[in-house]
Amino acid sequence: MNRRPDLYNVYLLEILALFADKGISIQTAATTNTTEGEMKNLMDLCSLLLPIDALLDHSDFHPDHSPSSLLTTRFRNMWFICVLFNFTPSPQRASCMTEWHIGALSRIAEKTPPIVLEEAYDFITTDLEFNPVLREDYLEKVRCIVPWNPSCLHARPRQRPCTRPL
Amino acid sequence: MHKATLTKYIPLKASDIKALIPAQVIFLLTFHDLETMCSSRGYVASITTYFLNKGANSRESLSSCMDSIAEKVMRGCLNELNTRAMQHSLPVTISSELQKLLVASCHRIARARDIAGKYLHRMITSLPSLMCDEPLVCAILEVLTLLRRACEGEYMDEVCLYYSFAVDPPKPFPVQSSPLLHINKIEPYD
Repeated sequence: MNRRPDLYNVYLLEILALFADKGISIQTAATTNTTEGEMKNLMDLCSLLLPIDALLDHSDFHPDHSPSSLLTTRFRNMWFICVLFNFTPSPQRASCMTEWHIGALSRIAEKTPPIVLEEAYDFITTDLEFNPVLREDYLEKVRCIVPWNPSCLHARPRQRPCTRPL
Repeated sequence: MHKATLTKYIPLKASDIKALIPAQVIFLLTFHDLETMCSSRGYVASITTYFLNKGANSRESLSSCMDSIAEKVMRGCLNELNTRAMQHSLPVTISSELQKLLVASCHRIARARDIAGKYLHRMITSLPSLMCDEPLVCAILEVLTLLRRACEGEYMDEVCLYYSFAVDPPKPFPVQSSPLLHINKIEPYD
């Protein structure tokens, strides 16, 4: 990879897209009551942080300097998924986050471009409310969970169709 | 669960948080977590970029929560920097980041300008040793020079537009040989 710096950006875009797809599939699986492989899926998602960190570690790669809007969107989606699954520092941090992953996430934060664009038209509606990486039915399900009752995650899902475009 | 976490971070905004939709809560938590991580590594200037979007600034409950989160991030960062300053281990990036904050404090969008100005003011007040940094002092002097020149330019190169309206005088009628002229030439009767 060191020999082809022109491919850094393409590779980063692909890994970030894979991260978002994996995050969406975990949410879909959780809402359809298939919880058996959830922990393994979360570990797979965590492990994707390491190649992103390794790519951003190149001293001649600065995606935070004049990023494209596509790259900004993909970084934003990656961070939304990290927050959704508690990968970031929070009172109930995901158990799959080891010291390596925590260090990698901090280094990714350093090279993350600004996730809010000034020129984004209707940011709240387009990029937040109708963001396909945040499934409404999953968020509704997570909302019912209170910190003292984590077993609620495996409760029967609400019979409500997803209203977001996927 | 995420709303409870956000309420724990900014308890004074509990009523505003109730009005937020889940996606906005995730956005606010992202803002908090990402900026906390960045500022702990010495990258403090990116906080102003969250206040540039018109849509985000126009939602009252969201923008008041964003203000509180920015306040919390600033407080946390200053505490950490104070501890590190006592150990003489301030991050090397702090000088360039403060210069970015200085530029952002002149931004045309008022909210970004306010946040950057407030952050910069608190940093320099609580860590006066930052003023020993030559590039930062030069940047402050440059901004002051620009301000002075802009103030002078307002008077020296002032453009005052004066409008004066006028109506064109009516064109004279074309001279024709009319029978009246002949009449005038007729000598009066004796």
